[in-house]
Amino acid sequence: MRRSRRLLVLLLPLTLSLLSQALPGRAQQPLSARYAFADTTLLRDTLGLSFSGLFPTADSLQMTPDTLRALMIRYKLPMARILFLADSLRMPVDSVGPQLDRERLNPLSGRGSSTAFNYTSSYDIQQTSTTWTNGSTYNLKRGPFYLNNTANIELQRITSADALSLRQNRESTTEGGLAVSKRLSFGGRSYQLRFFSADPGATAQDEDKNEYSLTARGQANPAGLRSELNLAAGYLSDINVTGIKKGISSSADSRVRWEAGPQLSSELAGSVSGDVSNSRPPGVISDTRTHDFSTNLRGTSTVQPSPYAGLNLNYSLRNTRVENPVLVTMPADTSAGAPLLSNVVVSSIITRSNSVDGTAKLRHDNDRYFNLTGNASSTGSPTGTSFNRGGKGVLRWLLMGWAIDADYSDSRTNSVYLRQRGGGGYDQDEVTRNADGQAVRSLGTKIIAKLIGNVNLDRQRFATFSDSANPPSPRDQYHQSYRGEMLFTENDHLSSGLALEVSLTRSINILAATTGSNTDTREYRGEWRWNYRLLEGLTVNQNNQLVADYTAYPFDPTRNTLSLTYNTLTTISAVLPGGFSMDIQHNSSRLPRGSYTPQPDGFDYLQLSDDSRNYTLGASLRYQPTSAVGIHLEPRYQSSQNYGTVDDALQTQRVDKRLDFNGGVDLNLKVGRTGQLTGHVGRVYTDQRTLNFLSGVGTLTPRSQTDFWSGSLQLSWTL
Amino acid sequence: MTRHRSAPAVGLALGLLVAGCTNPFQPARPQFPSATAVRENFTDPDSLLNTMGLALVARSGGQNAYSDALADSTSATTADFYAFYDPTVADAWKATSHRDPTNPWNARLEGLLFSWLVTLRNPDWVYAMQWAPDPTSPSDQRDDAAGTAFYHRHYVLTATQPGQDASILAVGYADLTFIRVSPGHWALRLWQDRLDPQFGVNPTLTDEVSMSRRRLDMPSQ
Repeated sequence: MRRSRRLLVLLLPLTLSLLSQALPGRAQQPLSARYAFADTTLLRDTLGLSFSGLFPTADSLQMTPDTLRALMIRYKLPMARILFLADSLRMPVDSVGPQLDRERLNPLSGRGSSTAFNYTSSYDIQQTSTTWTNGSTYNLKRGPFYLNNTANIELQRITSADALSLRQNRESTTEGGLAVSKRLSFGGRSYQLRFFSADPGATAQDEDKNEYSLTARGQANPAGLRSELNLAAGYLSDINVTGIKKGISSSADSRVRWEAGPQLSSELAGSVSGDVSNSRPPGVISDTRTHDFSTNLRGTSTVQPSPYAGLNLNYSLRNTRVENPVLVTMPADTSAGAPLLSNVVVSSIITRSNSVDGTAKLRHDNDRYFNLTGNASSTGSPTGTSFNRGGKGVLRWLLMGWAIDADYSDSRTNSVYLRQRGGGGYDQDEVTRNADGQAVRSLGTKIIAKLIGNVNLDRQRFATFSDSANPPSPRDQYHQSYRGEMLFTENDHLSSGLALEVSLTRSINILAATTGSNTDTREYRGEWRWNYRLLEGLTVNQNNQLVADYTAYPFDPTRNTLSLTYNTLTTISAVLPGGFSMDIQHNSSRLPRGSYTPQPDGFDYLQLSDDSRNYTLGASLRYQPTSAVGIHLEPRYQSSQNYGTVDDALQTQRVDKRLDFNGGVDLNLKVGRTGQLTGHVGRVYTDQRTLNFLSGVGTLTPRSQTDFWSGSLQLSWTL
Repeated sequence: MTRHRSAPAVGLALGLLVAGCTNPFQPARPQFPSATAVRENFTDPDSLLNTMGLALVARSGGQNAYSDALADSTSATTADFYAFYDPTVADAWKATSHRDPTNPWNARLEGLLFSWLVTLRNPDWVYAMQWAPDPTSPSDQRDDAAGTAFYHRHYVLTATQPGQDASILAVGYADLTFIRVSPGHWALRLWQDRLDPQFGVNPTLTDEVSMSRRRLDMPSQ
């Protein structure tokens, strides 16, 4: 019998090979089950937009599904439309919106007669702050003449401990001019900024900035090339608490896009700006000459010689120099009692940030490709420098029915922290390596299996170049995890999932003085969830978790701890006729923790040090009789009880009970022919009481109560 | 066709082979800590004394174990540790120092005494603590029902310089009272110190003194 059981081991490879072969019904399944575990809450219909195909599309665009969904909602565009615009403009999906905004203000984008005005006002009220925002854009075109204005005003009041803080920002840009041809325009621009900030006990920030400049815009679009050049030069005045700066400012920015068929394209954008000013710090009469200068160059090139191979290159170079006059007081000479002299010196702050990355792509189809990326970047500032370089390989493949994703990355960073204000004075070398693997496969028509593995290492080393420097201790951080997941779908009414995960996290200090606190944490996690549709519009789902964290101290055998988490979340969702929907949620969790200590029989046993039990019952009720008005009520009750060990017995130490109530009205009203009022207004009520126990005697703390209006309303109006 | 399909597998195998030569995720090996902690065992009075001895051997790494062995009044049901001086030693110390001994000598001061004792010699010296039955008082008493125990022990704390003979840092007799603070957890409640007459109040080698004298001589009390 024993021998025959041992022989069962030989069946394991056979079982695995059978699993990897084609299973009945495979031809009926989609190409891969990769998206079966995706967060389906993202697919819920909002604002009349359909998000079907969100996950594969976002995946092929190499952006997160959340980002693509947010872009669709922001511009209120269906997915097909936003993809069409990106293709026709030959730019990434997330650049479509900014490009449309830029073109709307471009005086060379077309002639004719048009007037556009858009006004938005928003008022936001919270418990300790109110924010009132007003913004407008105005575009006027009459033949070759144009006038654009953008204005924003934000007024914020923050109350803390009966003290009032103010933030006020007012900004306006106006440009008007004449387009002398389809390729050239001249005009004038005015920019005003008023900023005021006041906090009790701190110096108020007050800035008044004005710029008046002459502008010239040109564009040329010969075959295969699109280019534009913008020039501006004029007068600058900037008065704030750190000084006064008045002088001449100028700027130039250009954008060039070159295409040689669908195989080769390149885009380059650059800008140069600077000013020469007479500047002085507060309280000084005479001026000092200062120079500010900044350059910014960024570009991208794409080579796609065939549908199966491509190369993408991105680069960015940015340098800035800002000069400010500073009043310095120092003794006239080194003798004792020398008189103090004040001098104005120019403080120059130089920063730079450069980066380049390239990706080589080998692609068979959307389910079979390999990308190899290399990157390098450097930054510099008065506090130090940093240089980073790394690489990453990403593989996606379909192999015997398994949808496989794997990636490996290696990143190295060298940072120099200059000795300043008692800190810095050392180099930091950091190496980060990460490998992920995932395999997903349908097993029959009802079960989908997923295997995930991850390993990560972060290594930090330090070397001092200053005698008094005190760098952090050198250390490694290691993590590995494995997860297996099964999703079972019986039919449209019932589905269930099971997941098991094990992980090891090691915190490793290297030097003898700090290794005593090294830890090895082994986590074992089990999850079981099920979803059952009781009736049409009535669904129940439950998520159960059991997590055990064992933490051992490799160099301290006396410390060996265990932390457990039991969590159950049950949700009942109902959608009733007449625009009424309801979610009822119950959450219970228990978190015992303790240490293993030796007992008389010579073995170590777990002794609890503390325990806590938390229960939450909440509901979200919504009534939406029309698309213009909705009502929501969200009551929630929480109860928690904390226990601590006294004389080896668990005793109650704290009991908390809390009630939250949030109710209000949601608005989406049309105002006039082109206006829209959206937002929500509600009342937030919180009540909490705590019972603290000392030596078994409970003391009730005073009731903690909050009750305030909360809301956000936006009024937008278009001419 | 077959060769084309096997290409990824061959590539993967080669990749694994190369990766297998050097593990890029191998973390560094940490240095052995300068202070090693002691595994605490207070399941009975003998284990408790053994833990206190190991704590002195571990020196700075044994601070927690030594302190944890003492009864601690922060628990509502437990009285604090208390150490009695040997009367002869205390009288002699009063005569020379013209001061009164610190009283009571509690768990906090005993913890400070440990910190001071383990720094009397350089880190490369090896400490050892020996507890032996007291031949003059052989009758140890232990009442498991009441949760109390009364032990008599002779103690010798030595320090050894590498390549040299051991030298004594403390020697004497102790009448020790233990209490059981919870099932399987004993604590040292009383230390009644007695002079070892073999060494006397003023020993020939000035370091061969009792724990009473060490407590009295401890700076910053």
